[in-house]
Amino acid sequence: MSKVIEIENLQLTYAPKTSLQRQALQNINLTVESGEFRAIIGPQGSGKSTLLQVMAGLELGLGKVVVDGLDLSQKKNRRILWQRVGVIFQQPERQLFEDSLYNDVAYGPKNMALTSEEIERRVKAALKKVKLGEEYYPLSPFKLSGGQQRRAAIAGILAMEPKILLLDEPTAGLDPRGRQEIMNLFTELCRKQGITTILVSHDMEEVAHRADKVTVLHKGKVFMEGCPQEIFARGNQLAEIGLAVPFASELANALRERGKSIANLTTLVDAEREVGRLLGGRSGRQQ
Amino acid sequence: MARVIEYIYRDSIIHQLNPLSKLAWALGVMVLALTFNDPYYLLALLISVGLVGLTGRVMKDLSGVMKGLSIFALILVLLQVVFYHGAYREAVTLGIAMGLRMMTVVLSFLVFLSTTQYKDIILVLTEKMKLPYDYVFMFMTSLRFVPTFLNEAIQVGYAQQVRGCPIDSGNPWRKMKAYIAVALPLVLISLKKAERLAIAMETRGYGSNNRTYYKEPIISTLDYFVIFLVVVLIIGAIILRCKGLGVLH
Repeated sequence: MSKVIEIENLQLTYAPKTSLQRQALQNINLTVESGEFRAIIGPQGSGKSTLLQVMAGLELGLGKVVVDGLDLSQKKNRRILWQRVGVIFQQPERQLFEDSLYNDVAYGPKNMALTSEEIERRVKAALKKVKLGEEYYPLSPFKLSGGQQRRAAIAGILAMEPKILLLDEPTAGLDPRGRQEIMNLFTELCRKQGITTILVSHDMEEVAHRADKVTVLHKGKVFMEGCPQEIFARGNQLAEIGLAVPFASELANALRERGKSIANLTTLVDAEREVGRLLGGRSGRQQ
Repeated sequence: MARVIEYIYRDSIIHQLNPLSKLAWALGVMVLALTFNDPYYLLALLISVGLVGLTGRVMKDLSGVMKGLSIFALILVLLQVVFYHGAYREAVTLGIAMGLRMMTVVLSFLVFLSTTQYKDIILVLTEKMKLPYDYVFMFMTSLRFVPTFLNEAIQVGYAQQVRGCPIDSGNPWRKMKAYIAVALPLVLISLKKAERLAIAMETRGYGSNNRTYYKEPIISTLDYFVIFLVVVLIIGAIILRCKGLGVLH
């Protein structure tokens, strides 16, 4: 697999040389493979969103940042990055502005100077993915419900068919089913179409179930990195910086503390199997 | 830039002064700046304002703004040179005077705002100056929302930029059209914010009864001294002006 995002020794300081100076990111090294689903977690103010903005070419730090072969220290590279990288910010519904849902989703593709047939195809495909039917096309995006607005904004990014998706808490504030649907969509895009996905999230269950690898940020530095099993097995360390672990991992960590030999767990399916094994070979599932 | 007019907490004698005397000072500086047009007089005034800022220990935070203002002042000088009908020397002097005047007035208000808490300003304006509370509150709240608004503008700008909004395009017409994509969401966000603020205030009984205040702003001897000094300076300035000093013809 090839490297899609390479970050070496990244430093970023806000408001340098004033009394408000704040080191947002320091000494960050990060590599993301093509087609990978990477989660970035960390307590509030740990620099997650800033890191995402650096990857999107919106903030410029010191150090090497290469995204999809483009060196982001060059302004001309940062300017064309948007055609390849889709970013979904926190509360993306704030970015809606066109007179109809259809036009708003078409805004990005139009800026890409595509043919009108191609724009139409992409808009329709994107809206289908987020399950907004044709009856919504002519409606003002502001007439939609909160959940629908969120999906409309996500469709606006998907219609640009990015190779890389940067997601900043895309499901925050949605109901459980909405969360599930949106996360299923992103997982499918990553697994089936090979879109490299970076997810910033506070939802540890989400991270445990979806991510290939997890990066933990704390005070602007990389605190841990590894697959979800490894990361969530270190529940005590995570608790120290104010992070929780998924239920299954908590269970495994607690059982291990009581002297049981148990694998690192992240999902409930694994937990069921392991607990069944501990109970003496009996299957956890009884019909 | 987003933090231009925020209150900066420091422990200084300027911070402890009553908002009223600081307001009187800022207004006094404005009167003085308008009274004279001799660059030397105005420079002296600007330095005095800078010294007050230093005493308040906020000059470091305002240095960024000052840089921006001096560029603006330079543009004023250039404009005078280009458009003034008359001698070149006169134009430059007039331009410098205008630039200094602008910097002095703006800096004095920045020092006032960055050393005084909004709630204290509201308090003296309503209680001591007897201005209607609703209007004072409205004005101060809009000031208070400027940094929030700028922050919001950056966020929405980012969101549109990644959709290919040509904000940094060279063509001014395209640039104007591009800004609609940022301006429209901003207006909507602001309206929503205002509505939420109104509801939050009403649920806590805003406007339901006569207001009382927990804190009574103290007018100390120092405050009386400052106000007295400002009055003396203004009278002095007017006398000087009538005698033809500090004015170029």
